[in-house]
Amino acid sequence: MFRKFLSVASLGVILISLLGISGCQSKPLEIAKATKGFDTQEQLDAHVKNIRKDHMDRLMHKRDQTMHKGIRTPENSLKACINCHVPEPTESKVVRYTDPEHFCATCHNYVSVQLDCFQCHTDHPDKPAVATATQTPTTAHDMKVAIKHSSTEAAAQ
Amino acid sequence: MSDQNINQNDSGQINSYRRKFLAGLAGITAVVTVAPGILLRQVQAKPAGDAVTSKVRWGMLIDTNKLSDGGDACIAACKKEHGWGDEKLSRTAQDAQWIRKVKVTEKLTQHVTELPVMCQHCETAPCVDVCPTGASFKRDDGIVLVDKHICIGCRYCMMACPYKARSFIHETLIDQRPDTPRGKGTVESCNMCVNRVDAGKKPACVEAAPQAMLFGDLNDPKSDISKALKQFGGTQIRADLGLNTGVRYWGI
Repeated sequence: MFRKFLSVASLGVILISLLGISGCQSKPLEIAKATKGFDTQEQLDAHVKNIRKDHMDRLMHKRDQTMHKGIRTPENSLKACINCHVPEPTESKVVRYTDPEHFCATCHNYVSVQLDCFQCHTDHPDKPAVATATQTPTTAHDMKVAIKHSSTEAAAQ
Repeated sequence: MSDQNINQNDSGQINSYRRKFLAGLAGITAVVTVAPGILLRQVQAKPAGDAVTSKVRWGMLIDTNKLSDGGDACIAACKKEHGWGDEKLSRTAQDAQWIRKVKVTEKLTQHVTELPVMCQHCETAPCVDVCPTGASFKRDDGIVLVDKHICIGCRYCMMACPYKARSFIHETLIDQRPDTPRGKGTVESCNMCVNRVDAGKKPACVEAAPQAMLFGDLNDPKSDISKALKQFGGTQIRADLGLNTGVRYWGI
C-alpha cells in the first residue's frame, strides 16, 4: 500500500515539474511588427501560415531560380521580406541580424538555427539618407567637371 | 448595420484592387508614350516570373575615344551601384576589381589609350569551364555570373580569366547594397548589373557614360548595338583566344 502511494506521489511530482518546465517558455516570442499591412485579414493569415512553414524552402529553392534563370517574383524575394520586417536604419540605431530584436534572429536564436543569408545579403532596408550622403556625381558631365577640377588642382601643386 | 459594414469593406477592397489595376495601366501607357519604338525594343523588361532565354544576348560597346575620363565615371557609377571599393582591411592587391581602368601606351608613337576593363561576358567563358562547383556560370542571356551560394572560394576562375576580371573578398562585409549580395570567401566580378537588366534598365556604367557606351541585344539585328557593330565592327580584347566576348570596343 505504501509502495503504491509512493509511486503515485512520485509520478505526481514528475508531472508537476514537467508542467513547470513547459510553463516557463509557454509565452509566444515577441517578434518585430511588419511595416506594411495586407488589404485583408485573409491575405495576412495565408501569408503567416505559409511563411511560418515554408519560408526556408522558398528562400532556398527559389534562390536558384532567381540566380540562374532570372526569375524574380516579388513573393519569393528576400529583399522584400527585409524591407517589410526590419525597421529602416536611423542615425542612432541600425538593427542587424546579430541583434536579438531582428525579425529573423528572434526565432533563429530561440531554436539555435544559424542564419547564413546575411553573410552576403544585407540584413536591413536600404537607408536613403546614407545613400545620398555618399552620393557621387551621377551624370557623365558632372563627373568630368569633378575630374577636371581634381586634375587641375594636382597640376597646380 | 453589420451588413452595411461588410458592404463598405467589400467596396473598399474592390477600390484598392481597381486602383492597383489602373495604376498598372497608367504605367504601361507611360512606357509606351515616353519610349516610342527604340527603348521598348532595346531593353525590354521581361515579366518577373519568366526565365531568361537564349534568344537574347546582352552585350556592350565601348567607344574609348569618347570616354574623355578613361572610364572614371563608369567606375564611380559601378562602385555606387554595387557598393564595392570600400574594403578597409584588404591590401591593394586584394581590392575588388569589378571594373578597372587600363592604360596602354604605344611605344613608337606614345599614343595613350585608356579603357575600362571588366568581365567581358564571353560566350565560351574559361571561368565557367574550370569552376569545380558550377558556381561560375553563364546565364541563357549571355551574362556570366558567380552564384555565391555555391562558390567555395577556390579562385580557380580568377586564374583562368584572361582579363583579370575577377576578385576575391577577403574580409567580412556589412551594409551591402540590397541588390548586390557580397560576402567573405567568395569570388565576384562585373554582373552586367543583372538586377537592373532584369528590371528593363541599362547597366549603371552605361548610364554614367551614355555618350560612349551602348548596351543592347546582340542577337537582335535591329538593336542599336547590333547595327553599330555591323556597320563599323568592334574590337575584342584578346580576340586570338576566340572567346566571342559580349563586350566590344572602339578606338583601341
